[in-house]
Amino acid sequence: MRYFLFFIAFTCAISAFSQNKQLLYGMEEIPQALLINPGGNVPQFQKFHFGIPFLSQLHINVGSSGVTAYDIFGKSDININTRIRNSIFDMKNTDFFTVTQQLEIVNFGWRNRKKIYFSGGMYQELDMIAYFPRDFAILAWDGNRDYLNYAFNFSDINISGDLLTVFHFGANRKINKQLTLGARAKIYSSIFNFKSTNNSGSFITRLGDGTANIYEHTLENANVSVQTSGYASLRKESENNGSVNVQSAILGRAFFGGNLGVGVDVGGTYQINKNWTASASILDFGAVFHTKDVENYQATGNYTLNGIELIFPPLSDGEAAIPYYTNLEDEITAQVPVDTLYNNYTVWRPLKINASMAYHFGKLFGEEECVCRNNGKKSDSQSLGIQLYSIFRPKTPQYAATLFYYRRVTDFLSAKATYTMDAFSKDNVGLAIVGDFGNFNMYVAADNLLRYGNLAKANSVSLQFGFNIKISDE
Amino acid sequence: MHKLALFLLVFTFTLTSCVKDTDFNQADQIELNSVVELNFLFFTLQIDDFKLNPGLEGRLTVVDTTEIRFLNESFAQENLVSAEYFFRVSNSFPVEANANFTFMSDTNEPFYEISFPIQSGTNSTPVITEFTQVVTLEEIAQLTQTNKVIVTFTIDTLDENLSGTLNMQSKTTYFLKF
Repeated sequence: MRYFLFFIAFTCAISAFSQNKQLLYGMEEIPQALLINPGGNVPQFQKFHFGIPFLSQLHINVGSSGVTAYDIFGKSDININTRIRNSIFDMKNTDFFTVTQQLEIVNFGWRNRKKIYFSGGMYQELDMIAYFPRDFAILAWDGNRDYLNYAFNFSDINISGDLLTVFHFGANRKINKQLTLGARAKIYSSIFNFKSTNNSGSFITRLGDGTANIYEHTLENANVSVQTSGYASLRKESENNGSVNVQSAILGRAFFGGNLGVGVDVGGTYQINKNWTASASILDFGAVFHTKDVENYQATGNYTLNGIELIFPPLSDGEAAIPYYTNLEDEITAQVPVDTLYNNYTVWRPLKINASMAYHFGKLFGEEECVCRNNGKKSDSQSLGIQLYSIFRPKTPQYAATLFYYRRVTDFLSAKATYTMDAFSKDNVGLAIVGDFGNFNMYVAADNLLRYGNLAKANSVSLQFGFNIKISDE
Repeated sequence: MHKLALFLLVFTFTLTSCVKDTDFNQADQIELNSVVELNFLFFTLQIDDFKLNPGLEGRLTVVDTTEIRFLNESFAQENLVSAEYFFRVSNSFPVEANANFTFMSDTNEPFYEISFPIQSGTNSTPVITEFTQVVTLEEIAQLTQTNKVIVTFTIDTLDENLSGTLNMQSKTTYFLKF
C-alpha cells in the first residue's frame, strides 16, 4: 500500500512540473542533499548509497520573472497584441527568463572507518538566463517613430548559456557533536557556452536641427559582443559536410574533451543546542576556462546615419552610376566593424549561497517517542526554520527567502513544506516527500502549489525527483 | 492519524495540475506593427550643378541614381504594408522647380513614381516646400518590386546665371506588420 501511495504522489507531483531546490536543502534522507550542502548532516546509520544511473536526480526549471503564460495567452476580451504590448511596458530590463536542467548520471557515496562520508558522481547541466531586452523589444514592437531622442541601450542585451558536465567528489565529516563540515571539488567539462553580457552604447533617432537630413540615426559608443565556445567547430563542420554529428561532438566534450574548469563547494552545519541548528553552503565557486573552439564577435564604434547624399554628377553616356548604397554599407562597416576574435575567455560559474536556521522538536505520529534511527540517539521528527538563498547572475544577484516546516511523517516517509519569496513570486508554496522503502530511496519535490490548478499563471515551473539505493548499518 | 497524514499528503498531490483558461491558438493573431522612421535622400544643388548638364525641354536638369536594395528583399515584400515619403525642399532660386523620383526594378522597369512641384524662392528668402506621398497597401507591391530610384530635379529656366540654392531633405516612414 505504501508503495502505491508513494507512486500516486510521485506521479501527480511530476505532472505539477514545479519544484525548487530549497525543498531539498537540509533533507538528510536524500543523498543529493549533499550537492546542495556538502556539510549537511548525513544520517549516522547511512553507510553507503548510490543513485540509479540517469534517474538519481532530474531537475528541470523554467522561469520568467516578469510575465506568465496566462498574462499573454489567457482567455480575455483584450486583444493578445494589446496584452503583449502591456507586458513589454510592464516588464523591466532586470526581469529575466531562465532555463535550468540537471540530469545526474552517476552518484555514489560511502562512509569510511574514520566516519568521513565521501560522495561523488557526475551530472550534466544546462543553464541559460536571458534578461528582458526591454529597449529593443519596444523598438521591435513599436518602431522608432514615437521614440525620437530616446536612447535604446545595448546594455539591455544580456544573455548567457552553458551546457556542461560536472564531475565531483566530496567529503563530509562530523567534526564534533555540534559541527559537521564538508567540501566538494568539481571539474567542469564544457560542451557549449555563449554569453553576451557586457554590452554598452545606444541607438538614438534625433530630429535634426540644422543637420544634413531630417533625422540623425546615431550609434553612440556601441560595444556589443558575443563570446562562444564549442560553436565554431560545429558551424565549420556543417559548412563543410552539410550536417553535424552533434551526438559525437557532445559526448567527446562531456568527458573532458571540451573546455575545462574547476570549482569547489563548501558547507557546514552547526548544532547550536538541543533544538537549534544553523547551516550554510557556498556552491560552484569556480570557473570554466574557454581556450578551445572559441569564436567571439564584437561590434564597436560610433556612427551617424544621415541617409544617402546625392551629388548629381554630370550626365555622360556609358559612365557607371555612383554606388551610393555600397559606399554607405562600406562606411558603416568601417565605422562599426564586426570583428571575429579568437581570444580565450573565462566564465565564472553562477555562485550560489544557502543559509538556514532551524528549530527541531516533536515526535512521530502514533509514536510515544521518536523512532531512534539516529545511532541510538533521540531524533526530533519536526523542524521549523528559515532558509536564505542567493545566486549570482550577470546583472545582479537573485535572492530567495524560504520558511519551511519539516516532518518525519512515519519511519519511512518524510515531508517538507516551504513558503518561498523570490524574484518569481511572493507566494511560492512547495512540498517535498521522501520515501525509504527498505534500501530503496525515492524523492519528489514540487513547488508553486498555489498555481497547481493552473500552471499558466505560474512565473516558474520546475520538477525534481530521483531514485537511490541506501545501505544502512541497521 | 498515521493514515490520515498519508491521505492528506496524497490528496494534496492528487490535485491534478493543468494549464487552463488559456488559448494558445491566439499565437496566430500575434502581430508586430512597427513604424520605422528612416532618413532617405538629401542633397544641396547650386547653379553650377545644373550647368554641367544640357537643358532638357527648356529646363535646367540634374539626374542621379542610387540603389535602395532592401526594398525588393523578401523581408520588405512580406512585411511592409505601407510607406510614407516626406520631402522638404528649400528653394532660393527665383524660379519654380520640379522633383521626380522613379523607382525601378533590377531590369530598369519603372514600378513606382513620385513627382511634385517646388515653389520658387528668392535669394533673400528661401521658400520651403513640403510634400508627402503615401504608398498605400495596394501600391506597396509595386514599390517592393524595385531596388533603385532615379532622381530628377529640374528648374524652370535655361538661365545658367541664376543664383540660388536648392536643398532637399527626405525621410521614409515604413509601416511594418510581422
